[in-house]
Amino acid sequence: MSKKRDRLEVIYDILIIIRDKNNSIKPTPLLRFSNLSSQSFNEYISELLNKEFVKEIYDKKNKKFYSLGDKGFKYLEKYEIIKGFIDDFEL
Amino acid sequence: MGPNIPPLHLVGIELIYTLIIIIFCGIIYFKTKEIYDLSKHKGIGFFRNTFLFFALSYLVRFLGQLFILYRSILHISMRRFIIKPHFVIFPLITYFSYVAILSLVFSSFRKTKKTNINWNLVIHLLAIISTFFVFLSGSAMILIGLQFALFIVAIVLINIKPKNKKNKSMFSSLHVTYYLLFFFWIINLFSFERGPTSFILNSLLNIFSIIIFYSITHRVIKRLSNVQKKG
Repeated sequence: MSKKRDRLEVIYDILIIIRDKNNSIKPTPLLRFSNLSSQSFNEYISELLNKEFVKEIYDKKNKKFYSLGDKGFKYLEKYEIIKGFIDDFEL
Repeated sequence: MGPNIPPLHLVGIELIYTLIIIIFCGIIYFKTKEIYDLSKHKGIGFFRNTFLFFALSYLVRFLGQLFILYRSILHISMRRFIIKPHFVIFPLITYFSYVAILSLVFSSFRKTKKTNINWNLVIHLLAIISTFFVFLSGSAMILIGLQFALFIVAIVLINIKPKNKKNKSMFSSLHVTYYLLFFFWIINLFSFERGPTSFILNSLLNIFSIIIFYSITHRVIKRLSNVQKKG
C-alpha cells in the first residue's frame, strides 16, 4: 500500500498532470487523474488558483480548462529542491 | 592580556564578528525565500525565522556590548538614564533568541503531532512570558538560566521525531550542529554578562560560533545548488 501523499506531493502531481496534457485539461479528467476526493480536489484547485499556479481558461464553447501559470511552472522546476531541502534539514 | 587591549579593538572585533553572523543569517534567510514563497511549507518558515531572529539577537547583543564599553570609557553614570539600559537590552535579547531557538525546535517537532495548534503563536507567547520574567528581574543571570532551561528542552524536543525518520540517532550531524549553535549562544551570553575580559577567550568563542553558522550556511547553499544542477 502506497503511503499517503503530503501536501507538496499532491500539488506537484496536479501540476504534472496539467503540464503533461499539453498544459490544458478539463476539470473532470484532472479530478480523476489526481486520485483525490471531490472535496480535497476543490480545496487544492482553489488554493492553486489563488496562488496563480493554475489558471482557468475557456474555449469557444465556454468549456473550462485548467492550464499552468508561470508560478506553476516555477514550482515544478523547484520541486526537487524543496523536497531535498525539507528532507536534509528534517523540516 | 585582556586589560592591555584597547577597548576599541574589542569593539572592532565584536563588530566584525556580529556582522559575519548577521551576513550568514541573511544568506540563509534570503536564499530560502524562493522555496518558501513557492511551497509555504511551515517547516521552512520556522527555519527562516530562526536565522532572522538569531540575527536580531546578535545585533542587540552587540549594541549592548557597545553601550557597556562606551559607558566605562566615558564614565557615564547609570543615574543619567530614566530607564536602565539592561531593562531594555536583556528582554530584547531574550525575546529574539527565544523565538529563534523555539522556531528551530518547532520546525521539526511540529511534525510529531498533527494538530491544529498555531505553533507560531505558541512560540511568541513563550518568548513574551520569558521576556516578562527577564524584564522584571533585569538580571542577565535569569536570562542565562532561562536560556539554559530552553537548551535542555530543545535537546529533548529535537529528539522526539516521527518513527519513520531515516535518522533516529541523537547525534546526527545536523542535530550536533543545532546543539552547538544553542550551546555557543549561551556561552556568548555569559561572555556578554561578564564583559570582554579575555581577548583570547573571546576570539576563540567568536571563531567557534562563526564556524557553526558557516557550516549551516554552507549546507543550505550546497543543498539548494546541488539539486538545481540535477534539475
